[in-house]
Amino acid sequence: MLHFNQFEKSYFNHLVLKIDNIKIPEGIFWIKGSNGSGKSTLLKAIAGILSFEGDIAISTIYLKNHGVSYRKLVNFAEAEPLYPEFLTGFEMVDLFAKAKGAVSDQKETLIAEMGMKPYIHNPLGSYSSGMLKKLSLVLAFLGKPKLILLDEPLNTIDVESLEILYRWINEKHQNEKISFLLSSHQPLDELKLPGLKQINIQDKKIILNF
Amino acid sequence: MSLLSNTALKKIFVEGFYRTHAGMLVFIFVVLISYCLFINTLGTVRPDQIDFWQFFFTISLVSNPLILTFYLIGSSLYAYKSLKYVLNQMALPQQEFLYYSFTSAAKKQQFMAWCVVQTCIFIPLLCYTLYAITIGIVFGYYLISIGILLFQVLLIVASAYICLKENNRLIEANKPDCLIRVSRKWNKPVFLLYTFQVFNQSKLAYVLTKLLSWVLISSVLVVFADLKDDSRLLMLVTSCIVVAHVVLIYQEKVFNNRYLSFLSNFPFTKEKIFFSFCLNYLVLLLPEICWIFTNFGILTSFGLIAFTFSTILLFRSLLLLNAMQIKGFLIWVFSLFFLFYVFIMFGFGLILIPLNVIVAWILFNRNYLNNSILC
Repeated sequence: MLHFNQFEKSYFNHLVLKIDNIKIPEGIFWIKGSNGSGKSTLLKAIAGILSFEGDIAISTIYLKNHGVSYRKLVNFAEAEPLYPEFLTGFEMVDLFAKAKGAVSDQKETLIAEMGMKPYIHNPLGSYSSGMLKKLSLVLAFLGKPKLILLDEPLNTIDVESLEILYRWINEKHQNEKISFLLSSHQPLDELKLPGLKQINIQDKKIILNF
Repeated sequence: MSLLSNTALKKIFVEGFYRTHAGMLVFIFVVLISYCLFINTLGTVRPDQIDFWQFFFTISLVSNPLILTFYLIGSSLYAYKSLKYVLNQMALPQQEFLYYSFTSAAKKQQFMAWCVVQTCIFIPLLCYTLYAITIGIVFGYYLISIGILLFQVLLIVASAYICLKENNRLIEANKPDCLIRVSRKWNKPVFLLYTFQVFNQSKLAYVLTKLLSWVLISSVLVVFADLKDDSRLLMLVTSCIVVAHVVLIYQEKVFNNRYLSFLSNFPFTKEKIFFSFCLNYLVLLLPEICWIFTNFGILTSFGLIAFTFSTILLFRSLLLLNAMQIKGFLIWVFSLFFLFYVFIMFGFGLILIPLNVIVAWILFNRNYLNNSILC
């Protein structure tokens, strides 16, 4: 599903990650690693946000050659999302839905299920960090992606929302064969995410533990 | 506690203020230097005459009510800018600790600390005021000299008092700006979001930019009054307009990095991302565009607008270079401004339009996923 080809990421000539040639199959993966090991960097590079050496592909669609098609297939939720404060939550959802080609009722369904209806039309400046996090999760599920990247998805969200997130991940993976890469310091509930596989980042390399 | 707080307050607010406004100070410095070079190049003003005019301006400050009024308005604007900066910083989450630590000190102690902070921020203005006062007192203008100083001390004390009150009140949710409330039902295209940000949070910067733009246009037209319809002069005016907007161009990059980082994950072509942000400048430059179209012919106007946008594209792309900060950016901008000046004076102005776009595209294409952090 996800193919790394001579991937290298450096910050100001300091190597952070090096992945020679690895293919990651479909599935739900938990990326583990200590602080500063490069988990967020890896996710941002896969999302097409950060520059890097080498290439990344989903099936045969390469990020550097088919940027638009690739980005339609990959969605991303940041660890600490920041959005323009003057926009409302709904305007953000609408913006993402149009860009990612979401079907008409998808946004309403996601908003309702995540329990965001009461405040979705409020400006983002009035949102708490938990509300922003929930919004970022909703945005990551819009459209028809093949891969969803969630950076620290457990941060700041409440138990009810976490249950919904686990359900969404399972449903999307079973029904639409969408793969997930989740980076998290906190342990993910393997009972609620059956088939969860682990990927470790150690010494600037990734190790597949499956 | 007091000493520690003072150090922390100075580091957060005073150093932060000078760091953030270094661009403005560099800009003023470059303008003054270029002005001096310009005068010397003409060779019609002798050094003693320059000294005379500098002295004449300073003595006018303490003797001429009109110049004095301008100076006091300038001081008030400076106080407003410093206060706005301090209050904005205070509202940031990383400064929230001040609400439950510094506020436990005696009010008098807190007030003194804020006075020190405001005085430090006022140092550049106070230096010039003291210079003017010295000259004023030597020439017997006692009342106005002392009046200027008292006015600035009053500004410092008032600013310190507002900071004290603000720091000691309970935090409330910010009310959205009037324009934002009105525009809530409007469709906001992603490439126009920065324009909304400008009208929401950078109104002062926008007004000052327009003021600067107007001053630059008027100055060039007054200096070259006999060449009003010369296309070279019009291109020079246009490049002045773009230079006046560099702060907004820089702030757009900061805004995009902070709030629109998700855009890189959107399925947009590079070409779309490269050109679409010009929408912001179509709106922000509307007064200048209207002025151009109402004063010059259609063809000339389109030429000038094309030159404007090609230059904006080039300046935007420069910001993608690794670790580009405001100081380096301004040096690039002013170097290019002088290069444009040479091109325009030798009649090669129109070549700059495709040249700017090509260079901008090359820079963008190579660096648009650069992870340089602006602050």
